[in-house]
Amino acid sequence: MSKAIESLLFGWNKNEDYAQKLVADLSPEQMVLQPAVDVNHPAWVLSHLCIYHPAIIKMCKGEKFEDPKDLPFGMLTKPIADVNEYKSKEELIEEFVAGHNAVKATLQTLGDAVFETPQTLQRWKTPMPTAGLALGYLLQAHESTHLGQLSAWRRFQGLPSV
Amino acid sequence: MFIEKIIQGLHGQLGMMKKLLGDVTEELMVTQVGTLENHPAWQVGHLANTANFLASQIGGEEYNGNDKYGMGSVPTTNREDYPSKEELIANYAKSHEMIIDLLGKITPEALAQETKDEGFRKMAPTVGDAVLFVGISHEQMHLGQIMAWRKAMGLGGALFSAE
Repeated sequence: MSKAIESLLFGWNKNEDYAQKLVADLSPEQMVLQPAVDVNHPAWVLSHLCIYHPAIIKMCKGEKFEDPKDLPFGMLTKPIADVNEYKSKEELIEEFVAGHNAVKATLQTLGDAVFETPQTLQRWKTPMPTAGLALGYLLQAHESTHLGQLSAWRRFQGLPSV
Repeated sequence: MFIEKIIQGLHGQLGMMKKLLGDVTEELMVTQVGTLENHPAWQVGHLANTANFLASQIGGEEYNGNDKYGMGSVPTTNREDYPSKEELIANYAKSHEMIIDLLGKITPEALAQETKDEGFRKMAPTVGDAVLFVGISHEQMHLGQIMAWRKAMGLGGALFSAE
């Protein structure tokens, strides 16, 4: 495995662990709790992050995929304070970890060739013309931003940092 | 490694910070929500501090951080304890420019080397790990906290309808 992929997966693994810690002590009701209007609650954040995993894998393989923006829990959707609108915490964590592992396995299998794979999603072709250029954003920046939101969300409830 | 993209990401983060703090008043810069002690003044200072630390790991000057913004430091709500918003953002921008300059010259061999700081090595074993973790992941996590802080303050998202 190349150093570049190793470094990408280093942060990816940290996020996988951090996400689980952030929701470990939450009740089903807390998963959809919004301390203020439009604040992203944990159920939405995990659901949102999970839709990117299959997209990342297809992008790395050079296959076309549906724009995550248009999927349920995509960036154009808003969190709803209804536990029935989301999978259970256990299901979400299971899906999140499985998605992380699948991305990991894909990168390990494809190796450095993935960095030159042309972008297949039209919307990302200009800002991120190759899969390699998109990986830094998708594996580190995007996921870390949302985990930071969860970290703040915990403190709004008076929950300790993890 | 895709250093170009990391540099682009660092520029993007600077722009994001400016947008997130654009309408935040001097007084709000030190306002805490719930038990989230990390208010924007601390966040910007902390990120400039960690960027300076990262610079020291990738060929920059020796790290001379400010304990007020260190990991584990406790933010105060006294406005006078922090520089103005403009100064904080200027320092943050300066620390980014320093990293961007250093990354522009870094070699693949240097990225594969062990991180210089022994304690930090446990967190990020190689320079490449440190660049991605401190430069992107850690910083985006704090930007995410500011996004959530904005919404809790009733200031809205600033970037998208649902970040």
